[in-house]
Amino acid sequence: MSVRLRKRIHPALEQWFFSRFESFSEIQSLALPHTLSGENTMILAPTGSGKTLAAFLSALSALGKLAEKGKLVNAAHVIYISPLRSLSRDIERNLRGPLDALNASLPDAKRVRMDIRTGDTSLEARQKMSRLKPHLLLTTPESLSSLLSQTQWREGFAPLCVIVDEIHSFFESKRGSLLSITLERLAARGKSSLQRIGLSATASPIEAVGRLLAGNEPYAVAEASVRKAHRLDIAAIPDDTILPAGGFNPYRVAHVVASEVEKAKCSLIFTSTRSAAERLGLALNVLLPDLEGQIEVHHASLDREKRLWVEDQLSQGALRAVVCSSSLELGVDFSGVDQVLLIGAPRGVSRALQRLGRAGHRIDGVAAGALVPLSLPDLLQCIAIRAAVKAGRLDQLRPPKAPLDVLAQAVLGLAVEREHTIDEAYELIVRAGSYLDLRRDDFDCVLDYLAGGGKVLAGNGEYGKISIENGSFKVASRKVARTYYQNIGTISDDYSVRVVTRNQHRLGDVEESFLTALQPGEAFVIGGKSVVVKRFHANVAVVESAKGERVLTPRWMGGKMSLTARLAEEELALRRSLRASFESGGRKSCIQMLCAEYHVASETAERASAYVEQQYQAAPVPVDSPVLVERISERRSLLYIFHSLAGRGVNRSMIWTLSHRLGDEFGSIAGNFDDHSFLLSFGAKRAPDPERLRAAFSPLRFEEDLESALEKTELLGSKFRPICETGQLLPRRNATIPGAQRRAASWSGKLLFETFRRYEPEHPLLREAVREVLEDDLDAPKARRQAALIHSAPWELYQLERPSPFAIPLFAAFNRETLIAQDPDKALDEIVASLYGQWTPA
Amino acid sequence: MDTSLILGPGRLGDCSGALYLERTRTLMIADAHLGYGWAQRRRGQMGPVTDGGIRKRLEEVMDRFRPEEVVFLGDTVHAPKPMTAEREFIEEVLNWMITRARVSIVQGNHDRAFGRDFGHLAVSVLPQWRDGGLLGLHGDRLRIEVPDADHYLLGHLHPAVSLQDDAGVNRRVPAFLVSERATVLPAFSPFAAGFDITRLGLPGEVKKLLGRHDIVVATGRRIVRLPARPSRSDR
Repeated sequence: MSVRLRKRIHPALEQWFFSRFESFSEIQSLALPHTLSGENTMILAPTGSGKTLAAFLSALSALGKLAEKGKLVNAAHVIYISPLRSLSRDIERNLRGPLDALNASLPDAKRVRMDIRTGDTSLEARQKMSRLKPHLLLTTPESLSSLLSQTQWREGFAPLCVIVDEIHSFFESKRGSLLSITLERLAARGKSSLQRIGLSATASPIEAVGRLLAGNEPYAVAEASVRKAHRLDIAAIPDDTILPAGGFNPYRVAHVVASEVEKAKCSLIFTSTRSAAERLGLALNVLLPDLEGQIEVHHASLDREKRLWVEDQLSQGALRAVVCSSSLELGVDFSGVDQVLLIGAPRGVSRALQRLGRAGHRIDGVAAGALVPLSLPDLLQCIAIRAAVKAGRLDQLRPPKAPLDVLAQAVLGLAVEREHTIDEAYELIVRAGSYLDLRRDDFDCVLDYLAGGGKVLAGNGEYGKISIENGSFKVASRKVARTYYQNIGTISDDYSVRVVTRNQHRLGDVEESFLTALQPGEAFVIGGKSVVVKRFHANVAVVESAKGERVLTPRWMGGKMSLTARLAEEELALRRSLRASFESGGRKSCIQMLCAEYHVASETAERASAYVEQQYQAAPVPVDSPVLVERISERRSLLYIFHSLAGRGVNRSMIWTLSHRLGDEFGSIAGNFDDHSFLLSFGAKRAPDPERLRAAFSPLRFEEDLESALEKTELLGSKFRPICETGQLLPRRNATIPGAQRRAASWSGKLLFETFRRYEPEHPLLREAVREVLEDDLDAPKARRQAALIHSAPWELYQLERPSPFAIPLFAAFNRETLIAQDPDKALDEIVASLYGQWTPA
Repeated sequence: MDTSLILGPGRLGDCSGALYLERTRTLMIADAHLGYGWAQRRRGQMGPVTDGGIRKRLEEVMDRFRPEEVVFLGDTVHAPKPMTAEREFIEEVLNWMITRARVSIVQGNHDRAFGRDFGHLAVSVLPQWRDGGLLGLHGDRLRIEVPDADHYLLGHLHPAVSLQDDAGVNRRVPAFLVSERATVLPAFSPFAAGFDITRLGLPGEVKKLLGRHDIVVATGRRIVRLPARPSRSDR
């Protein structure tokens, strides 16, 4: 089999390959028969198993054969798409070898060209590329989307094969939705059918990811059977270190991380936020002065040159430790990394696996990793996630369904590319994996919006983005086309300010809101350096080195992901076991159970069991049934805390729906939620009794009520702006305009939302905001099931003076949300009246 | 609780955010930003084009006071070079007001070109408004010059305040800032969300002019003077 397979590869490549490797790896043997036959293929294998070559050996062979026949044209024939610019760079480096070998066998005039095109590509390189197109194009989905619309690239594609790397990383976000349309646009440019190859380490469920790649077309699956062995420990916390009751501050455990770093040659350390990465980087540098210069920080808000440098150093094994956020989650080998540390349990099993996979990329290597718990609740989560990782129980990913904002952007992209008939455009879109079920009237609605429609507008659709005539549409003007290019993509940034030194050396970006809140002389850390602001104007802050110890960490906005369903199940199982053990045999029993069933080290088991014992001094360990409810009186309010291990999306749904249902009766209600619990806060004089509360959890019409409740919240308003940006209704925030002007220059997201809601409730972007929130963020169906559980299960109601240990994390979180259940004007009257200590009747 | 409140001698604040001056029977309205929706369309922002209810608000406040004079204290329109529908809307509103009172426009930063675009209407276009020691300015040029006056009436800042009640609920509400030397009016436009001045602070030149001041909240249905707060250091 292997011999016949070999012969199907271009001879120059075959020679190159077998001068380096003895034989094909397992995944290459499985995948090559499909890829060499031109079939759509999903290739699933751990990183470092050779799956990249499994795709490229066939793609390069195809290019070689075309070249020999003189059939290469000045266009891209093979397109490689990756989620990260850095990945494209790494792949380019790795392909130099085989490509040079191939080109050596071809005459000069027929050589295969390769080039990268991403947001990082210089203007000069772009101009050159538009004249001399690469046959093998390495790019990102956003750049590809842009190229497909450009005049200079109208004849720039003769695609026969597209390779999508790390395809699972696109899957759960709108980036994947945009990618699926972009793939169809690419396919439409070719004369023959386009071969699609998807690469992934952790795709689950496979069918859904396959659909993203190939739409309704068939595809083969090549899946490696060899699982990478993972050694995953929970780092030992020394006896004298206290784990806090909640929170995510890495300072408390920095010394634990430091000792792990000392034990290994090169550690890749993942934190959950950019701030945490900076904080931990700073702490490690203080704790390990001997390793000065060998510990670096890496995250998306750092200057690109710095990031590239760190990645280079990592590849060469020249660093002892790199502390990063999710920025280094995807990518090629850092073969020198022999240890991955996860600071705090990640939000999902697949994410944990992806991160662990970054260590020891040799095909037979064992990936070594450790979880470092940040708090007592986090300790339990670490135990749970470790069990899931070892058993290979993955998360089931859920993609957004036919999002209308992305659709609007894509349709505009089509309009910029050339004139299309409406039917032709619709048929293309519904071939895309994310839009297979798109309704025609939704498509028409989006077209109408782009054409400037809307019933309130007088004059026929002036100032639209596209013009529609006789069943066809095209872009309204070059100005609109220019604005389109500036606003491609699905990711929204807050206003960010560039941080530079006196010598114009760029350090990175921080958010404007952080800088304006700084007091004069206050220092902050970025890229591991402590700096203080000297001058700050428009979008540039000039800083110099700071002396002294007090240093703040910038806060960058990032989405908060919900605990995955899988992880919630795992934690629930752990809690049930802990509860059963403690109630039968106390702390000792817990320790025994943890060691025997969860295989944790005894000191970890002891700490976890002590935490359980602490909990029992107030209330039992919460499980799903009975439902633990804590009632706490606080100055002028009364709090109900519900333990609900269902993820933040579901718990948020709870507080919204409940406040909507309790309505006017109880005045205004504040709420808060996290992955494990939610709370409702009432004015003490007006709080409901438990039975009234229980009735409010009825699953009947839960989803309808949730949708009504949503209308009153700030959630839709705050979601609306990014959706409007993606849908090309508003420009993306531009930090170069000075503050005061900028505010007046653009609609306030919330006001825009409210105005649409009043005057144009059927607007597609408004409906998308509702869909995104209900389906993607809140998981409405799951919320209903959770409500049914709480409604019917027995409650353990505890009247407490203080929240129990398990409730402290939520209780201590400062961001209580407004839940205005009643008419906003009335609510306002009440607020104002209450300032004088009197209540006005409802 | 009332729909209007005495803010100073001869100065009455209204729950809509307008200010009534008794001596001259003048109704003062700041930051109306007429034509907002259309203007944003012209900028390529495809938001809804609607008046947001401002026409109704103006009618109501005119009915309440029946003034002799109406003064728009700056940013009367949102942008220059209106499109047809926008122009028609603005002219309709202003012409309606002109039949009921004398209308004066004090220019602000958004409507510097008001004279050119709407000069044909029967309104006076002024750089400032005076009644003896009482001076009405938009307020965007205080850093450049501060003319002499006993009391200043200003717009431009869109002041607002966040209020919280027993359950912990927050709402941002437009507010007057009132002191002996000056009164800052909230934005009249329904499209101005307002800036929480207790959190964001005030520009230096306004702080200097205003001095220690009261916050008077105008919710659209009520107007209330807030109890005094301890002062915060500005950021």
